[in-house]
Amino acid sequence: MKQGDSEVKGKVPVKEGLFPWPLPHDGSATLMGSHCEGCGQSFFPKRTLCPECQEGGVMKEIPLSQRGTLYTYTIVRQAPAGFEPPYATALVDLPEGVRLFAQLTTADPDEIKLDEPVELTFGPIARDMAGNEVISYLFRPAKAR
Amino acid sequence: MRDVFVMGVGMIRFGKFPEVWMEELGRQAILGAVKDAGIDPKKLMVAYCGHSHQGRVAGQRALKQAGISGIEVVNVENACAGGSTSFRQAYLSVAGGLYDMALAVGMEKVGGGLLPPNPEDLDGLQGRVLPGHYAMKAVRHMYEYGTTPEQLAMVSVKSHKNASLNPLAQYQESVTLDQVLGSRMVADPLTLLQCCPTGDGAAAAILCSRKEAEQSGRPLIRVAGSVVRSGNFVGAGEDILASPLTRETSQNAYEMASVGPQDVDVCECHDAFTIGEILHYENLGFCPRGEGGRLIQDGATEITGTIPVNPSGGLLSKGHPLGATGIAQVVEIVRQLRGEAEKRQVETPRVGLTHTMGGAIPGLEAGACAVHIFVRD
Repeated sequence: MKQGDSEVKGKVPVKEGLFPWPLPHDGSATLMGSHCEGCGQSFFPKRTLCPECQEGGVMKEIPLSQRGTLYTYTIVRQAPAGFEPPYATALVDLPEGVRLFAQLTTADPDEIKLDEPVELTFGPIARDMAGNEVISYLFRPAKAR
Repeated sequence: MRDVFVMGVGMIRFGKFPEVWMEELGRQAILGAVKDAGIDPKKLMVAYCGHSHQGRVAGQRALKQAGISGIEVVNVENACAGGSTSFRQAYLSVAGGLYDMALAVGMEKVGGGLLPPNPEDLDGLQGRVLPGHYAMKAVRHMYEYGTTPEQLAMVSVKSHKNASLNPLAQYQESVTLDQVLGSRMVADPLTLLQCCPTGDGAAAAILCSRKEAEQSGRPLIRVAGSVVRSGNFVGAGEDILASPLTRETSQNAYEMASVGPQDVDVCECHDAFTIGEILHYENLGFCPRGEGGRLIQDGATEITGTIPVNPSGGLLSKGHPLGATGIAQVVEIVRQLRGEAEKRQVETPRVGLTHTMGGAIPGLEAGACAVHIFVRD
């Protein structure tokens, strides 16, 4: 943990262990999940035990896809402390069979389409009690390939 | 397993009572149920108390105020389904022959605004709020089935109309469709009047064996089905409109009671948000999937409809003091089955159903779902 580095000063990850921190600048960062070699299921966030196989499974750390599909969303207009409404939250399905809850980069309903591709990015989602920017993963609408 | 009956019910008006202790709210509900049952409170042998935020041994504290001590007391936490779960435990204690008379009480004093997530809840850290959780279901339902904002709002209009006939409801004023749609947007497409309020409340029910019920001379309201389940693991591809949890829990309860959804004459379901009620219509089996919006629009779930839902005003208007909610649903169904619901009385119901959901947990559909079926014999 490079606490005090100039590039992370005033910024904190939403939670440790979800993605590389500090974030690389080249856009290569992915979310880190787990894959159970016993039953083939993948998980996010990482788990040490598969809920299905328990001690019988072998959990391997895997990078998750940077593209997924938007399943549904809402625009939150009454927010908890630290968050600035309006912001969009969504459920995103990744090809690994993982569903993520995350914010979107836009809160404009005209730019958001269900069952369309979205891609991973990182940015501030809130401020913590100490005034730091809370950095997390977000998704933005993407062009179909 | 023996037959179990509800002998007495009681509840206080739901609302905001900053100057009243939780113990006093609980005392009034407990003694209301004792009076309704017409029993000596010394006959109660066990009490289960559902609550989420009332601190240690809350049940004992309320029972002490009601003059009841020296019995088995268990405090039950299952989020919004805590009251229903305490009712389930009381049911089991009588059905299993351990006790002849049991008390289920639910009570809560809740602060205002959004309920905070558990501190380790990653979705909560990312800005998930409960209205947003339901709003995302609404967006998907509108996308797949063409459900309209007006249909969602009709649930709130019905709820407020019913609550205006319920002297124990937190809100007792009717609202128009335009008022619902024009109220402040909380999480698209859910406006403020489509979200249940926070508030304080308490409710209690006394369960007993057949012998005790017959001696009481009160109408025989039998607990014909009683099921509590936790949510299954969910991942990508989960259909958030299907709710296997509500489907499986209600299916088990229907089988236990030897009835089907078509036999239900009156229902109290977990309408924390308007879309919730529409989804529960579908998942409890009152209409096919995707047709929940049409069911409310057609008036089928009005007090005078073919399947009246939430005649009390439900969580949306009667109020939702977490632990008290499940027992308050039982109070309404028992009064409906006895024909004691006054201005909001459903016409001669024989079978009633309560449905409660509790607890948002990332990776599970929900913490708990409880379904109870009541039959007037």
